[in-house]
Amino acid sequence: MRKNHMEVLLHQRDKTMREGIRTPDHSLVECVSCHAGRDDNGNFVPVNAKDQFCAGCHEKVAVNIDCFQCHATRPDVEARGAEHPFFAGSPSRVENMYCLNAD
Amino acid sequence: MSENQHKGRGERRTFFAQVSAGAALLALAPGFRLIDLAVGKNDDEPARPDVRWGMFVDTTRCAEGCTDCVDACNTEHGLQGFDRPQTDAQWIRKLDLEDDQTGQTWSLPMMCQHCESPPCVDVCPTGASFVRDDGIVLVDKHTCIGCRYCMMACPYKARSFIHEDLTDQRPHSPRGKGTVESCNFCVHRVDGNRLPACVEACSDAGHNALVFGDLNDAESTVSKRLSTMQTSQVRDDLGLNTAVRYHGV
Amino acid sequence: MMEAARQRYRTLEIDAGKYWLTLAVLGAAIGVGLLAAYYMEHHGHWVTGMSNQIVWGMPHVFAILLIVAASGALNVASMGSVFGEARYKPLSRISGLIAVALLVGGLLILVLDLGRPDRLIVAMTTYNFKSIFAWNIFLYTGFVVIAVVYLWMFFEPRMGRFSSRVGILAFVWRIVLTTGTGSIFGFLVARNAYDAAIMAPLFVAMSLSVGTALFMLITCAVLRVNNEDIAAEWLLRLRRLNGIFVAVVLYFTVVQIVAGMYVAEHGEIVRFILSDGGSITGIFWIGQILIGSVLPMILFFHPRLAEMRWIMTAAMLVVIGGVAHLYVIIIGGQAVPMELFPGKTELSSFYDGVVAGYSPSVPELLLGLGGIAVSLFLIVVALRVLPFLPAAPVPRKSPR
Repeated sequence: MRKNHMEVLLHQRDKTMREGIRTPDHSLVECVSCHAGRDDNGNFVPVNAKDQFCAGCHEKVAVNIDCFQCHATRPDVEARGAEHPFFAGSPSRVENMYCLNAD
Repeated sequence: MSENQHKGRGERRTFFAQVSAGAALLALAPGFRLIDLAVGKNDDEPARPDVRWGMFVDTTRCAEGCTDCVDACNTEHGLQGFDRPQTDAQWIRKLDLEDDQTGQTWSLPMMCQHCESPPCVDVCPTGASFVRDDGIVLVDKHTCIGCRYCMMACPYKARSFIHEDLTDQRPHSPRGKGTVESCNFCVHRVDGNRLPACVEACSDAGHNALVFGDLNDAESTVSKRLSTMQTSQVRDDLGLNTAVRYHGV
Repeated sequence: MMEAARQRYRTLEIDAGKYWLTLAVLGAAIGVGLLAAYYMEHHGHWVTGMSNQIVWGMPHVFAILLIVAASGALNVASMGSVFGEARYKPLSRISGLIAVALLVGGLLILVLDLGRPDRLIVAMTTYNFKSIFAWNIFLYTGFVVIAVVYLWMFFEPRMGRFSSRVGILAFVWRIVLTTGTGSIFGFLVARNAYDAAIMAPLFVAMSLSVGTALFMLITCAVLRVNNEDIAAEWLLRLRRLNGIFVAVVLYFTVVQIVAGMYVAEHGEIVRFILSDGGSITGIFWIGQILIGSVLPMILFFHPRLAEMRWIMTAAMLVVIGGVAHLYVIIIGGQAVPMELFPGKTELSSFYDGVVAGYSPSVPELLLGLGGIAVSLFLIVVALRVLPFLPAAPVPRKSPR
């Protein structure tokens, strides 16, 4: 996923934009709603902020993230799906640092 | 990572959620079919080409000074103004008219007319401005280069350019600096079998000036309005076959 | 014994100090232009004078001027290789160079003003072929390629036999390109100021007029650096030609306005330009008509004014007039309110029914000037490095 997420995103976004497919695995809102972390007060922190999910890899490889110029960095609804859209049978609602710890 | 993997619990849950939301909506407004669930679609279905979304505007029910539709749109899409009216985005606006000869006045909402042959789609160099299969005119912000040619081409001045950095966008309405946008019939709502925010707000407030639905379905409320009441297209001489029709002007 | 004159070419023989100073000044202007572009992109376009009502502003005025002039500047080379006017052949090289340089400068301004200039790759790979704008992107890049090949024909004696064929291609491409640029406006049904087929030939005429004027200004300036006597045979003919082109532009303008006066639907835009438009009206009458058309025609045609300084003055006035003309077209055309309901007065929170205001902001002007500086920079460097400039031909002994 780490290696291929751009291909996936580029394909899915056209499906959503041009055809209106809005399943959880085609929804960036869905990704953000799980991967956005919370601060000590329980408020959501922008998912692309320093030391958050995206920056964990992106800062190391120095690749700019363009998505969040337009897309919201904080969710305002709970995630729809119970499991990760791409990995069937994965545990639900994992800590947002899960993938990074598995390095 | 195949799409089949998430079928099952998740999909059924989504479907039931939508049906119950739809039923609740119907219950709130007895006798008034706000949206025809028969043409609603599931999340995994593409937009249906046999559907054409359209809107009927009854200008006799539009009061001058009422901005319920505008306020609802601004809230729904997070159109935060920056106190710079010349560059702030407006997806829908109230247009106040006065006849030069007779002095008669009208007030009506003006937004993207979702033309069948949109000039904005013709002129877009990258094809970012496009008509979806169900008639909704959208801007694919991934491909938009911000040249603003579509803004020159729109006969209704419906489009806005985003002139500054944005933060805290509404998650269902991504918008960002340097791209062009316009009313998208609240496509995220329509895909979820809900009404556009303006229509819902107008109806909640009791004005009932806006009716939304499938123009291709002769039994839909909007089609019935169009076939029984006088309506006109704005700038009809351009031959664009707009999806928004106005009564009373 | 027959002695044939062989055309010699020289590089720009400017002394090193002046050369580096020129490049430093132009480089500074380019740097400032790039900073202005970064400023606009970083903060967003709210820092410019452009808005949701006036979406194209000074950057587009400059960019379109350069692009249109680039097409016209190549006309001198076309006269040499396509129309068989042998006397212009020595000017072919510098004509090609000026054309390429002006186009590159114009394109740069256009690209840097985009809302998302980082998406240039998208613009160059994803095309909607119904869009005249998309066609123009092709035409502009193709023009650069063709002009470079054309130049190669001039530099490489063995390719000389192809030069007329490439010349015809370049000529046709130019006309299509300028027609396309005019049609960017001409195809807009939405706006009364633009929706007219005459925009295409108007732009072709404007390209020839401004292009020839810029060609004369630049070529005479650099030939003077080389202490070459500017051949009267070129200048007098170009002078008269430029005068004719100015007259044709004026003709199309008059036709457009008279037709607009006749058709009630276009009455408002004509009234706006001719009298009610405030600064637009002033720029039209003084900038476009007086400075850009009447005065240059007098200077170009009057028999007693066939002197270098009057020709250069006239050429400068034509360029200023070109800026004014494009300002009236681009900004005036957007400023006049769009009529959604003819016969009714409109009012809204989105500036319906009112004339839109616009004043050029500093970043826009700096970007425009930066683009011009890029063109001049390319010209100066190329002239210094390769022999573009015609020198007086030397007699050649025939082989014996």
